[in-house]
Amino acid sequence: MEFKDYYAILDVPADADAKAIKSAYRRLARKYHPDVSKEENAEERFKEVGEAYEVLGDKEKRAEYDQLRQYGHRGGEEFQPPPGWDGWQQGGAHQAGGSESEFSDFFDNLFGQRRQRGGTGHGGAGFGGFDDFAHRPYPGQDVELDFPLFLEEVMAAAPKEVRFTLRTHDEQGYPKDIEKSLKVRVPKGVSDGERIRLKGQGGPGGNGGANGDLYLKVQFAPHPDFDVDGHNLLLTVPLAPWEAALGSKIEIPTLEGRLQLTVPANSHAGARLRLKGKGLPQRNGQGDLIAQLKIVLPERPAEGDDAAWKTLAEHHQHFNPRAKWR
Amino acid sequence: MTSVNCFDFDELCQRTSVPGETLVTIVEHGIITPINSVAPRWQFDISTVWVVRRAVRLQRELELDWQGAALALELLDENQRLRDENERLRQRLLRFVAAL
Repeated sequence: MEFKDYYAILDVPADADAKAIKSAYRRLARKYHPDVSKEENAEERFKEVGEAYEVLGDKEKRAEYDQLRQYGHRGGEEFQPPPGWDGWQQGGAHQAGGSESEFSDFFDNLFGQRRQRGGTGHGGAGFGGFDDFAHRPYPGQDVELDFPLFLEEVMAAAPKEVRFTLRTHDEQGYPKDIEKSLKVRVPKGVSDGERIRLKGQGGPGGNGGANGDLYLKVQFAPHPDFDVDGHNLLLTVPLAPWEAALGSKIEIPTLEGRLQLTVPANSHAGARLRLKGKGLPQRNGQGDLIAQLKIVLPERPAEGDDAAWKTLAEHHQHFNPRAKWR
Repeated sequence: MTSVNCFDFDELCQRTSVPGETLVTIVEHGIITPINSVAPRWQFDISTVWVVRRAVRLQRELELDWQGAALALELLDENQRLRDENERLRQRLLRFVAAL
């Protein structure tokens, strides 16, 4: 077991007063809070900071810890509790730790095991003693998984298999992983970012408590041709300059096969043509396909191109595409 | 497997381990909005369970008051929404400026 240097974790000197410790904790909690932070390993760091404050922010625990530290233990070193050490055995709840956190083995060894048992907010439940708590029904944890879907799958709204690993605990409280596999019906009209709830498919409850739920967070996978805006599909349509100028009938892809699109004469780059009901399914109805035009030149000029463009240039000699700059 | 799409008030309290009084405060601060606003028969979208948990964590772990937690959540969501939108627009711009 590794000795934890809580002072180093909070970045305070060993003689820091309670105010300095609280202030360091607040600063670091804000920096690493998993709901706020974009830092790497934010969750891990946040738990560490919470654990350090649980000890250093409490006069009695800090005194116990300082006593051990005096024996010359330093952060990262192998640590064995001194002979006869009973740990800190009073009841009470974590005040500062993350709501789903488990403190380190080092903490548990010094201050007694008070691991959380699923759900949120058990930390402050005010239970009478560990034995009562151990036999009380507790709900299983809700589990959230990313649920990536190809746009074709969103369109088909067909069942899709989801495999995941569920962490449970055996009778002794040791972690045990279970492989699960479910067939999930993709709901018609599902949106990017939406959560699908599967009742009772999360972590198992204990002592007769209800199972947690499984939440699948839908993520539309990027598509090589289409972008998504709500339930509308966006397609960028390249046109040759003459197709845009003269108008044309072209074939475009949709998620349900190919379709004829009529490009009106004198179409500008960026113009948007709407194809009603050719987008993604909604709960009631269907989104649109929006074709946005762009104008491209042939990759390699062909013989005679210059003459053709020059004829056009002479024909439009009074046209100034940058007239707005004047 | 089929999905279940909303919670009533008691279910949401139970799922989030939040007392009813606190949940009312969370609604009053606009952190979550019931689907139908006729109290006490409120119904909530299932995603609110995650919003409530997040609000409670922020409020407790960063020692914020509810007003502060509501503001933090609003700004975090706005930030995420803008990041997503920025990513989508960047992707569309790339398609638009690609040679073919």
